[in-house]
Amino acid sequence: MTTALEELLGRRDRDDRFDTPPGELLALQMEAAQERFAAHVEQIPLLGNRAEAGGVTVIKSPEDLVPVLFAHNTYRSYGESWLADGDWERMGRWLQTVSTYSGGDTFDGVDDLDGWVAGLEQSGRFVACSSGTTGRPAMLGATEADIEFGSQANVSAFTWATGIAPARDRRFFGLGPRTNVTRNERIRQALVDAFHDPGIDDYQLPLPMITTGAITAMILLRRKIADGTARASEVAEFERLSAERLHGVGEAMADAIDELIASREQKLFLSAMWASLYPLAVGVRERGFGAADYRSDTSLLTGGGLKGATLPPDYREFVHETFAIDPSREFNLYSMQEINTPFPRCPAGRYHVAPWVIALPLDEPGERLLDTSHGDVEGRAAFVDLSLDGRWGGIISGDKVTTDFGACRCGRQGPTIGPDIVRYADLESGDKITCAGTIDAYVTGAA
Amino acid sequence: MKAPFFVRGELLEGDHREYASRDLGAPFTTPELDLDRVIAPRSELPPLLDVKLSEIIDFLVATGEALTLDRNPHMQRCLDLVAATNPLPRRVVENLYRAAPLLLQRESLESMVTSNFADPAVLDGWVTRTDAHGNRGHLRAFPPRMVHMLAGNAPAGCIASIAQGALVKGINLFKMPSSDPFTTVAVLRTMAELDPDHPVVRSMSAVYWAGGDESIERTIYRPQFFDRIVAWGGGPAIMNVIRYLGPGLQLVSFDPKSSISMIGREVFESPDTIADVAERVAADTTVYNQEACLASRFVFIEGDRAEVEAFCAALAERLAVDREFASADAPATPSDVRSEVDVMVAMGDARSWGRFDGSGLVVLTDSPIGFHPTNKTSNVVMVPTLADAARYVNVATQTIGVYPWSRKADLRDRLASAGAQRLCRVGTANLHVPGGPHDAMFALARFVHWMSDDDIEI
Repeated sequence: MTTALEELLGRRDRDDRFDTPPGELLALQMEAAQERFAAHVEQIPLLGNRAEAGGVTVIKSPEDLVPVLFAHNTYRSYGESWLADGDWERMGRWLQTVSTYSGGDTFDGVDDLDGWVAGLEQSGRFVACSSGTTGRPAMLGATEADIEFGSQANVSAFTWATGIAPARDRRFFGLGPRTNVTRNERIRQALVDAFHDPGIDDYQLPLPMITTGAITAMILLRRKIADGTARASEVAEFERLSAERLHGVGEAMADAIDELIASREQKLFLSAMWASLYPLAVGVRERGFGAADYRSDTSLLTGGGLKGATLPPDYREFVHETFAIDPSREFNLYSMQEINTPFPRCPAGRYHVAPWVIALPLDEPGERLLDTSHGDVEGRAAFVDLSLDGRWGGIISGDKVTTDFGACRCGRQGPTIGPDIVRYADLESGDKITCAGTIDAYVTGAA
Repeated sequence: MKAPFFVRGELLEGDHREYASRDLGAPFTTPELDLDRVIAPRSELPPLLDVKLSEIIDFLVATGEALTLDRNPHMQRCLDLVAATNPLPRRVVENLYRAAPLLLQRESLESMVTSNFADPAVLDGWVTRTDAHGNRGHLRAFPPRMVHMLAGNAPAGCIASIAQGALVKGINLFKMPSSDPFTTVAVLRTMAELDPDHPVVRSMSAVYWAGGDESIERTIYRPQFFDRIVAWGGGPAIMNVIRYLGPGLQLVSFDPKSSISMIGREVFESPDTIADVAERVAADTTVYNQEACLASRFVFIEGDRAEVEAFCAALAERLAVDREFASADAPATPSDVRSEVDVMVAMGDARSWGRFDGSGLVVLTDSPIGFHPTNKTSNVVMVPTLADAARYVNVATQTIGVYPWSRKADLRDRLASAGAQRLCRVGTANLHVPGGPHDAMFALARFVHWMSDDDIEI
């Protein structure tokens, strides 16, 4: 007999997966949530503490989930000094506190973060590190099942949104830098396997793979500068490496422009963030090429915001016109690293929440569930992604979104997230002035 | 709510624009900002140039007396307004206003001048000195043109800025914060009622614009208009300003700071001492509900674990107490902090006392936590000796409260070298010996335009 959870996860590739009225789904979702909760509350110590503090013993309604959601920074709550000091035993205990598995038993021969992560992976305990460079990277525990499910969910969502079948008839262009994070690599590989013509080479922006260890080294140097323990020569070496990396990016972009022009008659699958796409499009235009030179069936996979880049207001149209991308073949998604499921954008411009994910729009402090019975509500995005096996899927994000549980203008039923997504942190205007602050305000330049 | 402007002695009212206050989002309206009226051209001599310092001090002292809350309708009205725009509890704002006249006491003003200027006569005129060859140099601390970017977390802070601006006889523009676009104007109106034509009054303007508004800041942050930008605090507002600095326009910044406590093992000599020191640490921690830079956030303590845990329990109890400049219940602990503490406790790496509801939280760890403690949160960190805590002191460390006092002398050079700015007896962080430096500088001497006139005999 299939459980409620298996039933929901089994919908991943079904045509009607984004078209079920929320009311019809709720009972099944609650049953599946209870199934996950009952297992995870035993395995994840932090969830156990949360459940106890919140008096939650069983999940019967969305309200029961709110006290056991984790704040998004939970996955950054280890001590930066543990990384700096190579205290892998302690990192392991931390991972165990927020995951369904132990953080490793022996750390012989582990001398850096990459080594620690690689050691864990050998026993199927994946750790995805985020690549933020200003603060501690998030470390997200996952199992093989999570990696597999997440990769296929991306392929499947792409097809749903663009109507492009996984026919292995395109040339894959990876136009962003690559990281040696298994989760990211597996998603990339799944897309290549599904859409790329195996008879030709796929293209990857020729930059050395960014390792988690290198990102961490940068963050730790920043810490040392703040502590006043960094020597001038260490700062100088860092500045040199940064300049070298920047120079490397320029060369790689030039190479990508050449390759994009040379491949203009192929059926393309472009994958990149806007911040990379826009300068590439400019480069292609400067060489005298544009929409007329490309096939009319180019597809694009993108997502996320501008990540701090400043682009002209018409950047999207400019990229579309350069590579002859019909907007219907642009796959855009909303997701966050703490969950395992992409929410694809529909023709009406809204992001559709998968049935195995429970959307829980909250008030700004993240404490109270908003009433969604009267249309669009604005608030803090929170979700329980029931597909997650290696960690608890309940997360309160830092995003301010609008959520609608009514029918979407694209004609489908089910919860959707509106197009305007902002981070609460970015809403803090430049108008704040206070005499209280930390040493972080005194670290300039590096990182 | 209406937030009028005060421009060189004149009150300007109007509903030209609506803004929302930071943090609480309370709407307020302001009149139109006429930059030509706010900026005095350099062809005009400063109104205070020929006014004797003693006369300025008399006027400031009179202002201090007129600010007495029970007799001052402007400040009374302001109290209601600030309660709507500022996260500080109304009662704390009220106590700040009640304490405001102390900022304008004669002794305090005079000591500010004498500690900044070896010969205060340089403020009143040209002072001549003669070198070994008989050459004479004449020197004057000429009044500067200053923009004061006021901090939002201390509603009475504007009074200290007004005093500073008046003592150096400057031409002053106060940029008010959105969390308090009222107090500065209320103080200036009080002054104007004492004497509408007083040169101090004609030297002062207080206005609001949204910090970072390029159309205004690009226009006025120029050396042709101002000599100094004085900023109380840090954050994005300062990063904005830095873009406009250049030859002739200097930033005098009271940087963003954190403060700490250092407690020696002597605290465990008796239960009374533990209780007294816990109360003192709590008093230092809770200043303005820990919004102030001088509020303690970390306690470095010597002792064995059981002793330190007893101290933590006592501290948590005292954090929850209602005080003159703090409330029993501050805003609740931010959820991201809560999640970090939850994880550390679940891991067994930390123990906590108190609650997450803003009534006070103590987190005991063996190295400082990675986040900035706020909302009456104290991170107690065990150290083998207080000297070991020096590695956690840096250029952002402002005030260090020490127990026992006798150990300050042993620590102070090392702490100064690490970057710290001020030592005090624990429990007195919010009290100052008048005329002392702030953030390791004597600000008035940096504000003035040191003009020299040399007579070389050749």
